[in-house]
Amino acid sequence: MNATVRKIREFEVFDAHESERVTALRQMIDALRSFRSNDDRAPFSEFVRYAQSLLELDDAELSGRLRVSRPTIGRWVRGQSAPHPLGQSAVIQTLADLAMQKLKRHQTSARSLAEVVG
Amino acid sequence: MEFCLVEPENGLGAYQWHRGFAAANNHLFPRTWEVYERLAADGQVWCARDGREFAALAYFLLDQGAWEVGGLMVSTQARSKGIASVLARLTLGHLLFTEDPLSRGERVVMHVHRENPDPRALIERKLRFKLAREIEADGSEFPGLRQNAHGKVQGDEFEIGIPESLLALAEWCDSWSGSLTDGSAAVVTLSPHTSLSMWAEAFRDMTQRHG
Repeated sequence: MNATVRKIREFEVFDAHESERVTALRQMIDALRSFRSNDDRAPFSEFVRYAQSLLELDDAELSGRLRVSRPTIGRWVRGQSAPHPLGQSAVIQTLADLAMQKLKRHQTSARSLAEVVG
Repeated sequence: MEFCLVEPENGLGAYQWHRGFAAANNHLFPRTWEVYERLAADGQVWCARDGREFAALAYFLLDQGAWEVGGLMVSTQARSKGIASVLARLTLGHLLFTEDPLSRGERVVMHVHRENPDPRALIERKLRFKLAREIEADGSEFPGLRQNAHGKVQGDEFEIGIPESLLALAEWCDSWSGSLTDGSAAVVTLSPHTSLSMWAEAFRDMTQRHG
């Protein structure tokens, strides 16, 4: 296998993973935008847990982005507390912003690699 | 003056400031480095700062099922500008907005040494907290705090007033000009997509839910 073919095969594997990530991020952004806060803490907790996992942020990183305390993130994820419903909307909006930034980074890196291979 | 959460990387500086301040005042409980480091690293300390210099600090924590707003200290040079009342309101507001403790019936309290007159007007008149109970503990539990003749530390526990504290906080959020009492500008850094007017709406809503 020559170097060019190997490079293309590597790109195809990378591209498949990237496609999955990009699809997951797009789905998450849609889900976050459809979120409606209410008195039930469970949906909010689910959304934060889902977003945290896909954004690959630990509690400390996420607390820094959301400007809340680290234990607060833990309590939200465990469903032990949640912000006031108005605060829930603000958190979800911020998570959607972070997901958009990550999506753009993925798209940019995929384009850069395609240019290198192509 | 900027009001914001202390970033974890500035925790050591905040602790040193807290420690130095508390050591010079036997009405204020000096937290250990272990406790304060955790509070700062966890993002539970609010500050007022001018550039890199702290002017005031306050923290919130969950202790034995009750939320406490405490450690309110303002440097001598920064006094008489209303910094304490802004910082106390922001720390309390942040706690109420991000944790919504009243929805679970959790208490929100502040503690004051019996012989410390300084914060009482702020707590009772501005924050509209109510005296909940008197506290007495063995002096060995609170090293650094003034003890009475029997070796006891005496203090008072104030609890959030519902709806009074919520309404007072909402009114302040709606009406605060963004200036300190000496006319200098103050900048508040809240969570993204959040504003003081949103806080005000939330606190008024809390009075309906829990009042």
